[in-house]
Amino acid sequence: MSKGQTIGSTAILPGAAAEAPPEVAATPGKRIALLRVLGPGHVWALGVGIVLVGEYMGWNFAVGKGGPVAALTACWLAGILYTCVAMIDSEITSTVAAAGGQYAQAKHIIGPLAAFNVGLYLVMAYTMLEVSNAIVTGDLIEAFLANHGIPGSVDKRAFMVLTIVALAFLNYRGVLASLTLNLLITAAAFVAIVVLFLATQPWAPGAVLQHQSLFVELPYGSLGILAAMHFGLWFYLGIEGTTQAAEEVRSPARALPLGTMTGMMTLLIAATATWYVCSGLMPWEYLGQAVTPLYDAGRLTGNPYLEVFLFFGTLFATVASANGCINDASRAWFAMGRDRYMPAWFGAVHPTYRTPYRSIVFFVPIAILFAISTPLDQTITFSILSGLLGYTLMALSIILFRRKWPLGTIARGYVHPMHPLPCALLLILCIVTYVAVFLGYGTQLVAMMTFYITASAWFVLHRYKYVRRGDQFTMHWPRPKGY
Amino acid sequence: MVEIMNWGAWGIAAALALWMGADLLRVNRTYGEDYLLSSEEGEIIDAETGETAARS
Repeated sequence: MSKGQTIGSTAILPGAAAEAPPEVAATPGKRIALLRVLGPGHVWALGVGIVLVGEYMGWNFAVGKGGPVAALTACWLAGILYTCVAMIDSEITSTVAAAGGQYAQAKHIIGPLAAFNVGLYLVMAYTMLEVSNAIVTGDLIEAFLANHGIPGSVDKRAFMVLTIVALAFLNYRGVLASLTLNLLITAAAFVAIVVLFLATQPWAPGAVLQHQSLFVELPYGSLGILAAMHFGLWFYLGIEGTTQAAEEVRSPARALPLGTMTGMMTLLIAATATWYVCSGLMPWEYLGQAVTPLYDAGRLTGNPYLEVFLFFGTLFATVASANGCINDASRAWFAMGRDRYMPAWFGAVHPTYRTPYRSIVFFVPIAILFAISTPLDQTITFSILSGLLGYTLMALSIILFRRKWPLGTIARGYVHPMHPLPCALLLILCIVTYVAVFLGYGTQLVAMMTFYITASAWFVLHRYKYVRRGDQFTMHWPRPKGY
Repeated sequence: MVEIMNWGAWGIAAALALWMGADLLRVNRTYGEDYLLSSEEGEIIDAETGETAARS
């Protein structure tokens, strides 16, 4: 469906709906769909764009929890966890090419209750991440103006609200412009990390980087590695968001695996380079509580151009992340509305821009409310925990997927190797991270589990009667093995 | 200068929010609900490529 697509009895060409007069567009029998305009680059930008802000800030709290070695270990262990996520995601999504990503996967493979929960995890994870990014944007602008001696008091709330509303507006107007912007600013933010890495002359130890004098091993022992796992996720949290573009890419079976895998490679490189530069420029006691470690690293090189470049890198990464989160939260909510898991009203597509416009607008006031009222660490923790719950169900998903539809029974765009090793690794690393989160944020973990259990009870006892039970399963697959 | 930036940010945010709200209402009134809600989950057309590569 690259040039046009046939939906029902009507051929809809990209842009055709924009030109159709309302009375024609609303004729009974005519149908509408999200616009298939994205390529692998946009998928890469969506995934890396959401995550790269984690390299600019947040990951370094892992250093505070266990020292630099623990942070590097957590970085690579989390890298393994997310590589497993990306592999599993790529296989399932190249087959279940639907908006909603993991929600649609869980619906087809596990069942409605799991799908409802995964949908909620996605919406919560991305909305809280969007809120965190909006808060950070306000903080960044305030810090930059203060650092440059510009007099006056910045109203951070104005910039938080502007970030949320302006990016929602961009998403409302169309996915192509929105993710093309993400492609540009994410690439710029990644280049900023590479430039910083090269500027610190890693080929000449001691010239700029002072690992020998700054390095300590494990100040809190091996327990520090476990504690660091919580923030180790921050290096990659959100890469699974690539799957939300499934209904808007021109070739899902090719673009989704390609965009997700290259995104994961980009993040592994960026994460390791970030750790190497920062741990060679700052004592771990400072690095472990810095707000903007990469920007600080840029300042410590003494190069004013690099400092400005890293400021814009940080700002771009933050904006790209918020932009991707708005895209993903709205697609997940839209998919749930379309299946009646949430009110059907949210399943509408804009006739001109072909975006889930009601879902996009719905989250604007919610995000603003959280941004001006909730502390940053709570929104971040809420996001991490929701993501972690989703990854756990993903491991279950792939086991059931391979068991119900073995290789060869349905067409797959990508088949991940070494099954069930990635699934087993994912489960083990999720359990380790739950322990780490429980040690640091036990109350929030219990509170969140209570919230999701209550929501599940509401779904089973009240909401499920509205779900169109047969119509929600749209994949033309054979009957599952054993059923 | 910072004061102008603050008010500018509020002003732009308000204008964009109003535009989105107005457009949402206009679309809801102009088009039928059946048409707006007629989207269905997508299907893929090029899956055999990866399957063939994995089995070879």
